[in-house]
Amino acid sequence: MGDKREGESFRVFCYGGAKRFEVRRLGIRSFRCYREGEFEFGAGLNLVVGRNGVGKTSLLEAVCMVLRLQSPRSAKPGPCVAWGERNFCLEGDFVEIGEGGWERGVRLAVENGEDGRRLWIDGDCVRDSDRYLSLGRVVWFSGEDRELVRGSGTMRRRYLDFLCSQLFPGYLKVLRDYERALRSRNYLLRMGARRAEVEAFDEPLAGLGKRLQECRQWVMPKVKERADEVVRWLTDGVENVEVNYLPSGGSELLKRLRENYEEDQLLRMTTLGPHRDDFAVLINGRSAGDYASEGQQRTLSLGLRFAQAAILIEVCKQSPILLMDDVIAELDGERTERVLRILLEGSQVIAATAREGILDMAGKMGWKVMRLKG
Amino acid sequence: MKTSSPYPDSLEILLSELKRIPGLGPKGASRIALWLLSDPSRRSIPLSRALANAAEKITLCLECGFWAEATLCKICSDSTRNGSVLCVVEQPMDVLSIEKTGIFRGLYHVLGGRLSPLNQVGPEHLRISQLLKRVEQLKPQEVILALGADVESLATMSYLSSILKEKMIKVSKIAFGIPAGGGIEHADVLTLQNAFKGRSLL
Repeated sequence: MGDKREGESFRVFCYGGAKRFEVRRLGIRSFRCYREGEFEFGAGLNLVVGRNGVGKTSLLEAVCMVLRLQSPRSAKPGPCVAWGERNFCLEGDFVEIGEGGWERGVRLAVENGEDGRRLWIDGDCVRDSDRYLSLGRVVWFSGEDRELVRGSGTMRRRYLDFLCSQLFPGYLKVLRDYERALRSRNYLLRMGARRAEVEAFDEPLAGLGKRLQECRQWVMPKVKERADEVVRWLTDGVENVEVNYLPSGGSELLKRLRENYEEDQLLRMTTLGPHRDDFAVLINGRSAGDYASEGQQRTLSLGLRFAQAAILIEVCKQSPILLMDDVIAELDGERTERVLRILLEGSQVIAATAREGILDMAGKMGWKVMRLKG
Repeated sequence: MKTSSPYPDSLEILLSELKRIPGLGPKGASRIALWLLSDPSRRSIPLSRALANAAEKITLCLECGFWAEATLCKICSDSTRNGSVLCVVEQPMDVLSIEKTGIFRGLYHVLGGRLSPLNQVGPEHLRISQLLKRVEQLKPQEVILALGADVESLATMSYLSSILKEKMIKVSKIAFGIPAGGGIEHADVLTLQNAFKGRSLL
Protein backbone atom coordinates (compact mmCIF):
# COMPACT_ATOMS: atom_id res chain seq x y z
CA MET A 1 0.00 0.00 0.00
CA GLY A 2 2.96 2.31 0.70
CA ASP A 3 3.84 2.82 -2.96
CA LYS A 4 0.28 3.81 -3.73
CA ARG A 5 0.40 6.56 -1.10
CA GLU A 6 3.61 8.19 -2.23
CA GLY A 7 2.83 8.70 -5.86
CA GLU A 8 0.57 11.46 -7.07
CA SER A 9 -1.41 8.80 -8.86
CA PHE A 10 -2.93 7.30 -5.74
CA ARG A 11 -6.70 7.25 -5.99
CA VAL A 12 -9.05 6.30 -3.21
CA PHE A 13 -11.76 5.22 -5.60
CA CYS A 14 -11.10 2.55 -8.20
CA TYR A 15 -13.56 3.48 -10.90
CA GLY A 16 -12.46 0.70 -13.29
CA GLY A 17 -15.58 0.47 -15.45
CA ALA A 18 -17.86 2.15 -12.91
CA LYS A 19 -20.52 4.53 -14.15
CA ARG A 20 -20.93 8.02 -12.76
CA PHE A 21 -24.27 8.96 -11.33
CA GLU A 22 -25.27 12.60 -10.91
CA VAL A 23 -28.25 14.74 -10.08
CA ARG A 24 -28.88 17.55 -12.55
CA ARG A 25 -32.10 19.08 -11.28
CA LEU A 26 -34.26 18.78 -8.19
CA GLY A 27 -37.81 20.02 -7.74
CA ILE A 28 -39.04 20.34 -4.18
CA ARG A 29 -42.53 20.88 -2.83
CA SER A 30 -43.63 21.05 0.82
CA PHE A 31 -40.40 19.56 2.09
CA ARG A 32 -39.05 20.84 5.44
CA CYS A 33 -38.64 24.62 5.06
CA TYR A 34 -39.34 24.56 1.30
CA ARG A 35 -42.79 25.38 -0.05
CA GLU A 36 -41.64 25.19 -3.64
CA GLY A 37 -38.14 25.11 -5.04
CA GLU A 38 -36.13 24.25 -8.12
CA PHE A 39 -32.38 23.58 -8.06
CA GLU A 40 -29.81 22.87 -10.76
CA PHE A 41 -26.57 21.08 -10.00
CA GLY A 42 -23.22 20.99 -11.76
CA ALA A 43 -21.41 17.83 -12.82
CA GLY A 44 -18.54 17.94 -10.32
CA LEU A 45 -18.37 19.91 -7.12
CA ASN A 46 -21.33 21.93 -5.90
CA LEU A 47 -21.12 24.23 -2.92
CA VAL A 48 -24.31 25.34 -1.18
CA VAL A 49 -23.70 28.47 0.91
CA GLY A 50 -26.08 30.29 3.20
CA ARG A 51 -26.55 31.28 6.80
CA ASN A 52 -27.87 28.83 9.38
CA GLY A 53 -31.51 27.83 9.09
CA VAL A 54 -31.80 28.78 5.44
CA GLY A 55 -32.35 25.18 4.29
CA LYS A 56 -28.93 23.87 3.26
CA THR A 57 -29.19 20.60 5.12
CA SER A 58 -32.78 20.16 3.94
CA LEU A 59 -31.64 20.49 0.33
CA LEU A 60 -29.04 17.76 0.83
CA GLU A 61 -31.62 15.69 2.66
CA ALA A 62 -34.03 16.08 -0.27
CA VAL A 63 -31.42 14.63 -2.66
CA CYS A 64 -30.91 11.72 -0.27
CA MET A 65 -34.66 11.21 0.13
CA VAL A 66 -35.55 11.20 -3.55
CA LEU A 67 -32.86 8.60 -4.24
CA ARG A 68 -32.95 6.40 -1.14
CA LEU A 69 -36.46 7.10 0.24
CA GLN A 70 -34.98 7.64 3.65
CA SER A 71 -33.45 10.49 5.53
CA PRO A 72 -30.33 10.47 7.67
CA ARG A 73 -32.14 12.94 9.93
CA SER A 74 -35.37 11.12 10.74
CA ALA A 75 -36.68 7.59 10.58
CA LYS A 76 -40.21 8.57 9.56
CA PRO A 77 -41.41 10.77 6.67
CA GLY A 78 -43.62 12.89 8.95
CA PRO A 79 -41.03 15.44 10.11
CA CYS A 80 -39.95 16.02 6.49
CA VAL A 81 -43.35 17.37 5.50
CA ALA A 82 -43.49 21.18 5.58
CA TRP A 83 -45.51 22.65 8.44
CA GLY A 84 -49.22 22.71 7.65
CA GLU A 85 -48.97 20.37 4.62
CA ARG A 86 -50.02 16.73 4.27
CA ASN A 87 -47.37 15.37 1.90
CA PHE A 88 -44.06 16.37 0.43
CA CYS A 89 -43.15 15.87 -3.19
CA LEU A 90 -39.66 15.57 -4.69
CA GLU A 91 -38.71 15.13 -8.31
CA GLY A 92 -35.14 14.69 -9.50
CA ASP A 93 -33.53 14.45 -12.91
CA PHE A 94 -30.55 12.14 -12.75
CA VAL A 95 -28.03 11.03 -15.28
CA GLU A 96 -25.83 7.97 -15.46
CA ILE A 97 -22.63 8.43 -17.42
CA GLY A 98 -20.74 5.43 -18.80
CA GLU A 99 -17.05 5.14 -19.57
CA GLY A 100 -17.42 5.87 -23.24
CA GLY A 101 -19.22 9.08 -22.33
CA TRP A 102 -22.72 7.81 -23.07
CA GLU A 103 -25.44 9.29 -20.91
CA ARG A 104 -28.73 7.90 -19.71
CA GLY A 105 -31.22 10.11 -17.94
CA VAL A 106 -33.80 9.00 -15.42
CA ARG A 107 -36.46 11.00 -13.61
CA LEU A 108 -37.37 9.87 -10.10
CA ALA A 109 -40.23 11.26 -8.09
CA VAL A 110 -41.61 10.53 -4.66
CA GLU A 111 -44.60 11.79 -2.77
CA ASN A 112 -44.85 10.88 0.89
CA GLY A 113 -46.68 11.86 4.05
CA GLU A 114 -50.12 11.36 5.53
CA ASP A 115 -51.57 9.85 2.34
CA GLY A 116 -48.86 7.19 2.11
CA ARG A 117 -45.96 6.89 -0.30
CA ARG A 118 -46.07 6.96 -4.08
CA LEU A 119 -43.13 6.51 -6.45
CA TRP A 120 -42.55 7.29 -10.11
CA ILE A 121 -39.77 6.27 -12.47
CA ASP A 122 -39.78 8.35 -15.66
CA GLY A 123 -43.40 9.27 -15.03
CA ASP A 124 -44.58 5.68 -14.48
CA CYS A 125 -46.05 4.98 -11.07
CA VAL A 126 -44.23 2.00 -9.52
CA ARG A 127 -45.57 -0.04 -6.63
CA ASP A 128 -42.48 -1.90 -5.52
CA SER A 129 -39.47 0.07 -4.37
CA ASP A 130 -36.88 -2.57 -5.41
CA ARG A 131 -36.24 -1.18 -8.87
CA TYR A 132 -36.52 2.42 -7.72
CA LEU A 133 -33.83 1.89 -5.10
CA SER A 134 -31.53 0.10 -7.53
CA LEU A 135 -30.98 3.24 -9.60
CA GLY A 136 -28.74 5.56 -7.59
CA ARG A 137 -26.76 5.79 -4.37
CA VAL A 138 -25.49 8.39 -1.91
CA VAL A 139 -23.01 8.81 0.93
CA TRP A 140 -23.97 11.23 3.67
CA PHE A 141 -21.12 13.08 5.42
CA SER A 142 -22.17 15.09 8.45
CA GLY A 143 -20.45 17.58 10.72
CA GLU A 144 -21.42 15.25 13.54
CA ASP A 145 -19.65 12.23 12.08
CA ARG A 146 -17.15 12.18 14.93
CA GLU A 147 -19.92 10.38 16.78
CA LEU A 148 -19.22 7.41 14.51
CA VAL A 149 -15.97 6.99 16.38
CA ARG A 150 -16.73 8.16 19.90
CA GLY A 151 -20.54 7.87 20.11
CA SER A 152 -22.83 4.94 20.90
CA GLY A 153 -23.29 1.83 18.79
CA THR A 154 -26.52 3.27 17.39
CA MET A 155 -24.49 5.57 15.13
CA ARG A 156 -22.35 2.71 13.83
CA ARG A 157 -25.35 0.45 13.21
CA ARG A 158 -27.00 3.26 11.27
CA TYR A 159 -23.77 3.58 9.26
CA LEU A 160 -23.86 -0.15 8.47
CA ASP A 161 -27.57 -0.17 7.65
CA PHE A 162 -27.28 2.83 5.33
CA LEU A 163 -24.44 1.15 3.47
CA CYS A 164 -25.98 -2.34 3.37
CA SER A 165 -29.37 -1.05 2.23
CA GLN A 166 -27.64 0.38 -0.83
CA LEU A 167 -25.57 -2.74 -1.50
CA PHE A 168 -28.14 -5.47 -0.93
CA PRO A 169 -31.62 -5.34 -2.47
CA GLY A 170 -34.19 -6.27 0.14
CA TYR A 171 -31.95 -5.39 3.11
CA LEU A 172 -34.22 -2.58 4.24
CA LYS A 173 -37.34 -4.77 4.16
CA VAL A 174 -35.60 -7.46 6.19
CA LEU A 175 -34.48 -4.79 8.67
CA ARG A 176 -38.04 -3.45 9.06
CA ASP A 177 -39.37 -6.98 9.61
CA TYR A 178 -36.61 -7.67 12.10
CA GLU A 179 -37.51 -4.52 14.01
CA ARG A 180 -41.15 -5.57 14.13
CA ALA A 181 -40.25 -9.02 15.44
CA LEU A 182 -37.99 -7.37 18.02
CA ARG A 183 -40.68 -4.93 19.16
CA SER A 184 -43.13 -7.83 19.50
CA ARG A 185 -40.74 -9.95 21.54
CA ASN A 186 -39.76 -7.02 23.76
CA TYR A 187 -43.41 -6.16 24.33
CA LEU A 188 -44.12 -9.72 25.46
CA LEU A 189 -41.10 -9.67 27.77
CA ARG A 190 -42.23 -6.36 29.23
CA MET A 191 -45.74 -7.67 29.82
CA GLY A 192 -44.39 -10.83 31.47
CA ALA A 193 -45.95 -13.17 28.88
CA ARG A 194 -45.48 -16.92 29.03
CA ARG A 195 -42.17 -18.28 27.78
CA ALA A 196 -43.73 -20.12 24.82
CA GLU A 197 -45.28 -16.87 23.58
CA VAL A 198 -42.00 -15.00 23.80
CA GLU A 199 -40.12 -17.83 22.13
CA ALA A 200 -42.58 -17.88 19.24
CA PHE A 201 -40.72 -14.81 17.99
CA ASP A 202 -37.27 -16.39 18.33
CA GLU A 203 -37.37 -18.10 14.95
CA PRO A 204 -38.47 -15.05 12.90
CA LEU A 205 -36.03 -12.91 14.88
CA ALA A 206 -33.10 -15.28 14.36
CA GLY A 207 -33.94 -15.93 10.71
CA LEU A 208 -34.17 -12.25 9.83
CA GLY A 209 -31.27 -11.39 12.13
CA LYS A 210 -29.04 -13.92 10.42
CA ARG A 211 -29.73 -12.32 7.05
CA LEU A 212 -28.80 -8.89 8.38
CA GLN A 213 -25.65 -10.19 10.00
CA GLU A 214 -24.57 -12.05 6.89
CA CYS A 215 -24.70 -8.77 4.96
CA ARG A 216 -22.82 -6.89 7.65
CA GLN A 217 -20.29 -9.70 7.97
CA TRP A 218 -19.64 -9.49 4.25
CA VAL A 219 -19.17 -5.75 4.17
CA MET A 220 -17.10 -5.19 7.33
CA PRO A 221 -13.74 -6.47 6.01
CA LYS A 222 -14.17 -4.12 3.08
CA VAL A 223 -14.88 -1.21 5.41
CA LYS A 224 -11.76 -2.09 7.37
CA GLU A 225 -9.57 -2.26 4.29
CA ARG A 226 -10.92 0.89 2.65
CA ALA A 227 -11.05 3.04 5.79
CA ASP A 228 -7.45 2.13 6.52
CA GLU A 229 -6.41 3.09 2.98
CA VAL A 230 -8.15 6.46 3.20
CA VAL A 231 -6.81 7.30 6.64
CA ARG A 232 -3.24 6.41 5.64
CA TRP A 233 -3.61 8.71 2.64
CA LEU A 234 -5.10 11.56 4.68
CA THR A 235 -2.39 11.34 7.36
CA ASP A 236 0.51 10.58 5.05
CA GLY A 237 0.80 7.10 6.44
CA VAL A 238 1.14 8.17 10.07
CA GLU A 239 -2.06 6.56 11.34
CA ASN A 240 -3.50 3.19 10.68
CA VAL A 241 -7.02 2.06 11.35
CA GLU A 242 -8.60 -1.21 12.26
CA VAL A 243 -12.31 -1.81 12.19
CA ASN A 244 -13.62 -5.02 13.74
CA TYR A 245 -17.18 -6.26 13.48
CA LEU A 246 -18.74 -7.37 16.76
CA PRO A 247 -21.89 -9.34 15.88
CA SER A 248 -24.22 -9.81 18.83
CA GLY A 249 -25.36 -13.37 19.39
CA GLY A 250 -22.74 -14.85 17.10
CA SER A 251 -23.32 -17.45 14.44
CA GLU A 252 -25.97 -19.38 16.37
CA LEU A 253 -28.40 -16.63 17.19
CA LEU A 254 -31.43 -18.92 17.63
CA LYS A 255 -29.61 -21.14 20.11
CA ARG A 256 -28.19 -18.16 21.98
CA LEU A 257 -31.63 -16.52 22.20
CA ARG A 258 -32.99 -19.68 23.85
CA GLU A 259 -30.04 -19.92 26.22
CA ASN A 260 -30.31 -16.27 27.11
CA TYR A 261 -34.03 -16.36 27.90
CA GLU A 262 -33.67 -15.97 31.68
CA GLU A 263 -31.55 -12.87 31.33
CA ASP A 264 -33.93 -11.36 28.76
CA GLN A 265 -36.82 -12.07 31.09
CA LEU A 266 -35.02 -10.40 33.97
CA LEU A 267 -34.15 -7.31 31.94
CA ARG A 268 -37.49 -7.43 30.11
CA MET A 269 -35.88 -6.97 26.70
CA THR A 270 -34.04 -8.90 24.02
CA THR A 271 -30.34 -8.55 24.74
CA LEU A 272 -28.93 -10.39 21.72
CA GLY A 273 -29.21 -9.84 17.99
CA PRO A 274 -28.25 -7.42 15.21
CA HIS A 275 -29.82 -4.52 17.11
CA ARG A 276 -26.92 -4.91 19.53
CA ASP A 277 -24.23 -5.28 16.86
CA ASP A 278 -21.32 -2.88 16.86
CA PHE A 279 -17.88 -2.47 15.41
CA ALA A 280 -14.72 -1.43 17.18
CA VAL A 281 -12.65 1.37 15.65
CA LEU A 282 -8.97 1.18 16.59
CA ILE A 283 -6.28 3.68 15.74
CA ASN A 284 -2.72 2.41 15.90
CA GLY A 285 -4.07 -0.55 17.86
CA ARG A 286 -5.97 1.44 20.52
CA SER A 287 -9.66 2.24 20.88
CA ALA A 288 -10.22 5.42 18.90
CA GLY A 289 -13.25 6.48 20.94
CA ASP A 290 -11.16 6.52 24.11
CA TYR A 291 -7.67 7.43 22.97
CA ALA A 292 -7.80 9.38 19.70
CA SER A 293 -7.63 13.17 19.65
CA GLU A 294 -10.47 15.21 18.23
CA GLY A 295 -8.54 15.70 14.99
CA GLN A 296 -7.81 11.99 14.71
CA GLN A 297 -11.47 11.18 15.31
CA ARG A 298 -12.48 13.53 12.51
CA THR A 299 -9.97 11.90 10.18
CA LEU A 300 -11.27 8.46 11.12
CA SER A 301 -14.87 9.43 10.48
CA LEU A 302 -13.87 10.80 7.07
CA GLY A 303 -12.12 7.50 6.45
CA LEU A 304 -15.29 5.58 7.29
CA ARG A 305 -17.41 7.77 5.00
CA PHE A 306 -15.04 7.61 2.06
CA ALA A 307 -14.86 3.85 2.63
CA GLN A 308 -18.64 3.73 2.08
CA ALA A 309 -18.18 5.53 -1.24
CA ALA A 310 -15.31 3.28 -2.32
CA ILE A 311 -17.29 0.13 -1.51
CA LEU A 312 -20.37 1.35 -3.38
CA ILE A 313 -18.22 2.08 -6.42
CA GLU A 314 -16.49 -1.28 -6.23
CA VAL A 315 -19.60 -3.39 -5.71
CA CYS A 316 -22.30 -1.48 -7.60
CA LYS A 317 -20.01 -0.27 -10.38
CA GLN A 318 -21.52 3.18 -10.00
CA SER A 319 -20.32 6.29 -8.16
CA PRO A 320 -22.55 7.56 -5.37
CA ILE A 321 -23.41 11.24 -4.92
CA LEU A 322 -21.44 12.58 -1.97
CA LEU A 323 -23.58 14.79 0.26
CA MET A 324 -21.42 16.73 2.70
CA ASP A 325 -23.16 18.75 5.40
CA ASP A 326 -20.83 21.12 7.30
CA VAL A 327 -17.78 19.05 6.46
CA ILE A 328 -15.61 20.73 3.83
CA ALA A 329 -15.16 24.25 5.21
CA GLU A 330 -14.72 22.77 8.67
CA LEU A 331 -11.61 20.78 7.78
CA ASP A 332 -8.26 21.99 9.03
CA GLY A 333 -5.59 23.09 6.56
CA GLU A 334 -3.53 19.98 6.18
CA ARG A 335 -6.36 17.56 5.47
CA THR A 336 -8.34 19.95 3.30
CA GLU A 337 -6.02 19.59 0.36
CA ARG A 338 -6.03 15.81 0.57
CA VAL A 339 -9.79 15.58 0.97
CA LEU A 340 -10.28 17.86 -2.02
CA ARG A 341 -8.04 15.64 -4.09
CA ILE A 342 -10.27 12.68 -3.29
CA LEU A 343 -13.31 14.77 -4.23
CA LEU A 344 -11.76 15.62 -7.59
CA GLU A 345 -11.61 11.95 -8.48
CA GLY A 346 -14.97 12.10 -10.10
CA SER A 347 -17.99 11.55 -7.85
CA GLN A 348 -20.49 14.37 -7.83
CA VAL A 349 -20.30 16.32 -4.57
CA ILE A 350 -22.91 18.55 -3.02
CA ALA A 351 -21.40 20.28 -0.01
CA ALA A 352 -23.15 22.72 2.30
CA THR A 353 -21.59 25.25 4.63
CA ALA A 354 -22.33 28.48 6.47
CA ARG A 355 -18.69 29.56 6.31
CA GLU A 356 -18.12 32.04 3.53
CA GLY A 357 -14.34 31.77 3.91
CA ILE A 358 -14.22 28.83 1.53
CA LEU A 359 -15.77 30.78 -1.36
CA ASP A 360 -12.47 32.12 -2.71
CA MET A 361 -11.02 28.67 -3.00
CA ALA A 362 -14.23 27.26 -4.43
CA GLY A 363 -14.19 29.94 -7.11
CA LYS A 364 -10.61 29.15 -8.06
CA MET A 365 -11.37 25.45 -8.25
CA GLY A 366 -14.34 25.97 -10.51
CA TRP A 367 -16.97 24.75 -8.07
CA LYS A 368 -20.55 25.59 -8.80
CA VAL A 369 -21.63 27.86 -5.97
CA MET A 370 -25.29 28.03 -4.97
CA ARG A 371 -26.30 30.78 -2.58
CA LEU A 372 -29.39 30.12 -0.51
CA LYS A 373 -31.32 33.05 0.89
CA GLY A 374 -34.19 32.84 3.37
CA MET B 1 -69.15 27.38 5.32
CA LYS B 2 -70.75 24.06 6.18
CA THR B 3 -74.37 23.78 5.16
CA SER B 4 -76.75 21.07 6.32
CA SER B 5 -77.10 18.12 3.94
CA PRO B 6 -79.89 18.36 1.37
CA TYR B 7 -80.39 14.55 1.55
CA PRO B 8 -83.36 13.02 3.42
CA ASP B 9 -82.39 11.56 6.79
CA SER B 10 -82.92 7.94 5.75
CA LEU B 11 -80.51 8.41 2.85
CA GLU B 12 -77.95 9.99 5.16
CA ILE B 13 -78.18 6.94 7.43
CA LEU B 14 -77.74 4.60 4.45
CA LEU B 15 -74.70 6.55 3.26
CA SER B 16 -73.04 6.54 6.64
CA GLU B 17 -73.58 2.75 6.94
CA LEU B 18 -72.17 2.17 3.44
CA LYS B 19 -69.12 4.28 4.21
CA ARG B 20 -68.17 1.86 7.00
CA ILE B 21 -67.54 -0.87 4.43
CA PRO B 22 -63.77 -1.31 4.03
CA GLY B 23 -62.50 0.22 0.80
CA LEU B 24 -65.58 2.36 0.25
CA GLY B 25 -65.22 6.14 0.41
CA PRO B 26 -67.89 8.87 0.26
CA LYS B 27 -68.03 8.81 -3.55
CA GLY B 28 -68.33 5.05 -3.80
CA ALA B 29 -70.99 5.05 -1.09
CA SER B 30 -73.04 7.65 -2.98
CA ARG B 31 -72.74 5.69 -6.20
CA ILE B 32 -73.97 2.48 -4.57
CA ALA B 33 -76.80 4.28 -2.76
CA LEU B 34 -77.93 5.84 -6.01
CA TRP B 35 -77.92 2.48 -7.76
CA LEU B 36 -79.83 0.80 -4.92
CA LEU B 37 -82.49 3.48 -4.77
CA SER B 38 -83.06 3.82 -8.50
CA ASP B 39 -85.30 0.72 -8.40
CA PRO B 40 -85.89 -0.24 -4.74
CA SER B 41 -88.07 -3.30 -5.28
CA ARG B 42 -85.55 -5.05 -7.54
CA ARG B 43 -82.33 -4.04 -5.82
CA SER B 44 -82.40 -2.81 -2.27
CA ILE B 45 -85.15 -5.01 -0.92
CA PRO B 46 -83.68 -8.41 -1.90
CA LEU B 47 -80.25 -7.15 -0.80
CA SER B 48 -81.51 -6.03 2.61
CA ARG B 49 -83.27 -9.39 3.03
CA ALA B 50 -80.10 -11.24 2.11
CA LEU B 51 -78.06 -9.16 4.54
CA ALA B 52 -80.50 -9.69 7.41
CA ASN B 53 -80.73 -13.39 6.61
CA ALA B 54 -77.00 -13.86 6.52
CA ALA B 55 -76.45 -11.88 9.68
CA GLU B 56 -79.05 -13.99 11.45
CA LYS B 57 -78.07 -17.43 10.19
CA ILE B 58 -74.33 -17.43 9.65
CA THR B 59 -72.18 -18.40 12.59
CA LEU B 60 -68.79 -20.01 12.90
CA CYS B 61 -68.52 -23.79 12.67
CA LEU B 62 -68.12 -25.23 16.14
CA GLU B 63 -65.41 -27.57 14.91
CA CYS B 64 -63.22 -25.60 12.52
CA GLY B 65 -64.28 -21.95 12.80
CA PHE B 66 -65.27 -21.59 9.15
CA TRP B 67 -68.60 -19.97 8.23
CA ALA B 68 -71.58 -22.24 8.84
CA GLU B 69 -75.37 -22.16 9.01
CA ALA B 70 -75.66 -25.14 11.33
CA THR B 71 -73.39 -26.18 14.16
CA LEU B 72 -71.05 -27.69 11.56
CA CYS B 73 -69.90 -26.12 8.29
CA LYS B 74 -70.31 -27.87 4.93
CA ILE B 75 -66.73 -29.10 4.97
CA CYS B 76 -66.81 -30.56 8.48
CA SER B 77 -70.11 -32.33 7.78
CA ASP B 78 -68.84 -33.78 4.48
CA SER B 79 -68.09 -37.45 5.18
CA THR B 80 -65.82 -37.77 2.15
CA ARG B 81 -63.24 -35.40 3.64
CA ASN B 82 -60.10 -36.96 5.03
CA GLY B 83 -60.02 -36.43 8.78
CA SER B 84 -56.42 -37.54 9.15
CA VAL B 85 -54.99 -34.29 7.74
CA LEU B 86 -55.69 -30.93 9.31
CA CYS B 87 -54.90 -27.64 7.63
CA VAL B 88 -54.53 -24.57 9.88
CA VAL B 89 -55.30 -21.15 8.36
CA GLU B 90 -55.67 -17.61 9.72
CA GLN B 91 -58.99 -16.48 8.22
CA PRO B 92 -62.18 -18.05 6.78
CA MET B 93 -61.25 -16.44 3.45
CA ASP B 94 -58.09 -18.57 3.38
CA VAL B 95 -60.29 -21.71 3.36
CA LEU B 96 -61.97 -20.44 0.19
CA SER B 97 -58.61 -19.82 -1.47
CA ILE B 98 -57.36 -23.32 -0.70
CA GLU B 99 -60.69 -24.94 -1.62
CA LYS B 100 -60.48 -23.29 -5.03
CA THR B 101 -57.22 -25.13 -5.69
CA GLY B 102 -58.90 -28.52 -5.10
CA ILE B 103 -55.57 -29.89 -3.89
CA PHE B 104 -56.59 -30.42 -0.29
CA ARG B 105 -59.27 -32.91 0.79
CA GLY B 106 -58.69 -32.90 4.54
CA LEU B 107 -60.25 -30.74 7.24
CA TYR B 108 -59.51 -27.14 8.14
CA HIS B 109 -58.97 -25.22 11.32
CA VAL B 110 -59.44 -21.45 11.24
CA LEU B 111 -57.48 -19.57 13.93
CA GLY B 112 -59.34 -16.31 13.46
CA GLY B 113 -56.11 -14.28 13.27
CA ARG B 114 -52.48 -14.58 14.23
CA LEU B 115 -50.30 -13.78 17.19
CA SER B 116 -49.70 -10.05 17.18
CA PRO B 117 -48.52 -8.69 20.51
CA LEU B 118 -48.29 -5.15 19.12
CA ASN B 119 -52.03 -5.34 18.40
CA GLN B 120 -52.78 -7.09 21.69
CA VAL B 121 -53.57 -10.43 20.06
CA GLY B 122 -52.32 -13.36 22.15
CA PRO B 123 -52.93 -17.13 21.94
CA GLU B 124 -56.05 -16.78 24.09
CA HIS B 125 -57.66 -14.62 21.36
CA LEU B 126 -57.20 -17.32 18.72
CA ARG B 127 -58.90 -20.68 18.38
CA ILE B 128 -55.83 -22.52 19.61
CA SER B 129 -57.35 -24.40 22.54
CA GLN B 130 -60.04 -25.68 20.14
CA LEU B 131 -57.27 -26.80 17.79
CA LEU B 132 -55.59 -28.79 20.55
CA LYS B 133 -58.91 -30.39 21.51
CA ARG B 134 -59.54 -31.39 17.90
CA VAL B 135 -56.07 -32.79 17.54
CA GLU B 136 -56.68 -34.96 20.62
CA GLN B 137 -59.94 -36.24 19.16
CA LEU B 138 -58.98 -36.64 15.49
CA LYS B 139 -55.39 -37.77 16.08
CA PRO B 140 -54.40 -36.55 12.58
CA GLN B 141 -51.33 -37.96 10.86
CA GLU B 142 -50.29 -34.49 9.83
CA VAL B 143 -51.10 -30.87 10.61
CA ILE B 144 -50.32 -28.47 7.77
CA LEU B 145 -49.72 -24.85 8.71
CA ALA B 146 -50.89 -22.64 5.83
CA LEU B 147 -50.19 -19.20 7.25
CA GLY B 148 -48.73 -16.07 5.68
CA ALA B 149 -45.07 -15.18 5.39
CA ASP B 150 -44.81 -12.04 7.53
CA VAL B 151 -43.30 -11.78 10.98
CA GLU B 152 -46.49 -12.41 12.95
CA SER B 153 -47.56 -15.37 10.83
CA LEU B 154 -44.10 -16.91 11.17
CA ALA B 155 -44.26 -16.44 14.94
CA THR B 156 -47.71 -18.06 15.02
CA MET B 157 -46.38 -21.03 13.05
CA SER B 158 -43.43 -21.32 15.40
CA TYR B 159 -45.75 -21.23 18.41
CA LEU B 160 -48.15 -23.82 16.97
CA SER B 161 -45.42 -26.16 15.81
CA SER B 162 -43.79 -26.24 19.23
CA ILE B 163 -47.01 -27.05 21.07
CA LEU B 164 -48.10 -29.60 18.44
CA LYS B 165 -44.72 -31.31 18.42
CA GLU B 166 -45.01 -31.71 22.19
CA LYS B 167 -48.07 -33.84 21.44
CA MET B 168 -45.99 -35.89 18.98
CA ILE B 169 -47.93 -34.64 15.96
CA LYS B 170 -46.26 -34.38 12.57
CA VAL B 171 -46.30 -30.67 11.60
CA SER B 172 -45.50 -29.18 8.20
CA LYS B 173 -45.75 -25.72 6.67
CA ILE B 174 -46.53 -24.73 3.14
CA ALA B 175 -43.62 -23.67 0.91
CA PHE B 176 -42.91 -20.04 0.06
CA GLY B 177 -41.78 -19.25 -3.44
CA ILE B 178 -42.39 -17.55 -6.73
CA PRO B 179 -45.92 -17.45 -8.16
CA ALA B 180 -46.65 -20.14 -10.71
CA GLY B 181 -47.09 -19.02 -14.28
CA GLY B 182 -45.20 -15.82 -13.52
CA GLY B 183 -41.62 -15.56 -14.64
CA ILE B 184 -38.78 -14.94 -12.23
CA GLU B 185 -38.75 -11.29 -13.31
CA HIS B 186 -42.09 -10.67 -11.60
CA ALA B 187 -41.03 -11.94 -8.18
CA ASP B 188 -39.89 -9.36 -5.65
CA VAL B 189 -36.43 -9.63 -4.12
CA LEU B 190 -37.43 -11.22 -0.82
CA THR B 191 -39.70 -13.81 -2.42
CA LEU B 192 -36.92 -14.79 -4.78
CA GLN B 193 -34.43 -14.97 -1.93
CA ASN B 194 -36.83 -17.23 0.01
CA ALA B 195 -37.37 -19.35 -3.08
CA PHE B 196 -33.61 -19.86 -3.38
CA LYS B 197 -33.28 -20.76 0.28
CA GLY B 198 -36.15 -23.23 -0.03
CA ARG B 199 -34.88 -24.82 -3.25
CA SER B 200 -35.19 -28.60 -3.60
CA LEU B 201 -33.06 -31.26 -5.24
CA LEU B 202 -34.29 -32.75 -8.49
